[in-house]
Amino acid sequence: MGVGLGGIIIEQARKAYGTVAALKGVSLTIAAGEFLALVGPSGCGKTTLMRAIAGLETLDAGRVIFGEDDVTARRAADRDVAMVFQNYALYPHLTVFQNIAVPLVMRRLNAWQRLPVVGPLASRQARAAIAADVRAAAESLAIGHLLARKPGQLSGGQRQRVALGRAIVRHPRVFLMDEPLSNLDASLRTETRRELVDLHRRVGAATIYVTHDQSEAMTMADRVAVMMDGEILQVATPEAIYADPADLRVAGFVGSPRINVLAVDSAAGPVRVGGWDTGLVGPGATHYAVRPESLVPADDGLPVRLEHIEFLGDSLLLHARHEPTGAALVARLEPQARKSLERGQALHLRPLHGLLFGADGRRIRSVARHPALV
Amino acid sequence: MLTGPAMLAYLAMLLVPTLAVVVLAFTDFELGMPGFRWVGFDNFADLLTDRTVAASVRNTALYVAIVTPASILAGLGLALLIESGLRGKIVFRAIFFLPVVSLMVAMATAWQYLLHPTIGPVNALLRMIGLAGPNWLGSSDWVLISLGAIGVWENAGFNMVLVLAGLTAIPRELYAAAEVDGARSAVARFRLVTWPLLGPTMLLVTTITTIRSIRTFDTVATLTQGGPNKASEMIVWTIYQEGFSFLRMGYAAALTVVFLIVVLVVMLVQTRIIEKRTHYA
Repeated sequence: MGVGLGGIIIEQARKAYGTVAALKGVSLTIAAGEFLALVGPSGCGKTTLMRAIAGLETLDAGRVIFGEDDVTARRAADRDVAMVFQNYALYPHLTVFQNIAVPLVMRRLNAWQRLPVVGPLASRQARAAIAADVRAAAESLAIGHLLARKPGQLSGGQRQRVALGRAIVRHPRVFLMDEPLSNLDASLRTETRRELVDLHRRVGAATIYVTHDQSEAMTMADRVAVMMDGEILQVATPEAIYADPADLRVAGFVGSPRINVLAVDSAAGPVRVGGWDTGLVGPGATHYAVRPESLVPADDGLPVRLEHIEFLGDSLLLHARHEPTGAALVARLEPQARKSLERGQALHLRPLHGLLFGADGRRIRSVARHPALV
Repeated sequence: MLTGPAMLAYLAMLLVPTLAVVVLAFTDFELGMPGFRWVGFDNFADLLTDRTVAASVRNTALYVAIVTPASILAGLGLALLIESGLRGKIVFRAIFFLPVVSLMVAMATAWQYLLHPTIGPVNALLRMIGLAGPNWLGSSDWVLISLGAIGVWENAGFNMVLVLAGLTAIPRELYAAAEVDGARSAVARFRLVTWPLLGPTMLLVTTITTIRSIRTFDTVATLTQGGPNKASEMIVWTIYQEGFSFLRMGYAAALTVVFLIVVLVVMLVQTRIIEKRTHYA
């Protein structure tokens, strides 16, 4: 199967709610120990896919395989996955200690040993082992001092750590995180990103991280899967997703400010945009896209008029209008460039690295240099 | 100033009638008599030696001990069944809520027929399996149990609706978390999530059911009139008898005061005990 024991394979997963297709035949392979971010706008099916991997959602068709085990027919409790929920889903009536202990209590003690009063007497040793494991997990997340509190007495960041503790305490085969940072404030979020990556390295389980925030996905993951409308458009390293997007929607979703998109004059022949020859040949290309940092002022290129200049400290954003087509363009320049620019000015922006896309949004890769420009 | 109208309404609606009852309790006022005398605590002293009142308190306590736990368990069970059922939720909810919206006085006639010793379907069924059913409402051994069964039937649907409302307030994510954490059986999930998170609802249900069963009057009045031989004599029925049949308003008022104090104490104790064990999320 090629993913090793700790990997995950999803084959042709399909799921529909009534007439709405949430998953339209999704296939995905995650290597053992890999950190994969599943990113897409809300409603794209990423949460459905994650719940299907966890076993909380049954697929209409397709298979889920952990390592060599086909777990498609197995329920969540029998899949050996851990999940961090968006709202953490902590048990409000249990202390932090009890919350973290739940997965161990459920797995290591039988129904009799879980009974109140009688249970603890019949399972003293097992309970001591559980307590030791809970303490170790709590210490590793620096929440050892909170064990006696209840979730209601904790801050958002602390609750999130408790949810993580509950997930890592039993060393699961697969680690799933559903937008775990979305309820934290901005400053805590950046800090926690790094901690989650560290945690993943220590735990070592294959991790799927669902988010709608492309910057989270890009900064944390080994590979990023971009999902839209129930389909995975591209799975690649963050670098490849950014520089070499397979689909116009992927190019548009990743990167801030957004990639500039211009209509190509004619689908045949050399690619021209508003009369300007891009120097590219791409049969069937209808869209020409260029990242803001790939646009530089030059003697020739795209004729634009400057509408607005934003100084960001480390860079300068030029908001310009492409004069032939009226399309809005954004260019990112070095901050020193400011002196020679003013609002209303006409200039040329030359794209250093343009990407071509067809009418269906797919990347046109058969790109050749236009002989005239070589 | 702004609380004026509300205070006025409170005084007129609640405080004055209650105070009037308390004042009456210290008199020998009888309806239709020209005047009354202050008798101090005589009415209360009489209560302590009154055999009817003693039977009434004993019967009421027994009735509450039957109806409260049984109808709470029944309501919880029905709610869980309906919640886990795939279809017919609305139909079942309506069926079990029927006793609440129907008029108890009218439904009592149906019960009288059902429990009739000779022509009643209940005893007919028992005869089919070879058992001789008792005279449900006419035997002093059975009458309280029969009334209790009707009380459970009456309260279970109401409790079910309250529990259903409580169940919808439990976040679905907690059940997903419980499943992922390895709570395989329905019992395990109930103990881990449902029961603790129903705490506030169960407090409300217990309080309301206890009050409702202490106040039971309509079944006694329509089906047994406290009989046979005071075997189904209950507090509100006794108050009614003293006040409206024997017209001894002072004595009935004293009984009412005691009744109110008992209800208050029961409520306070119950709230204290349950609140300690209830987590408010």
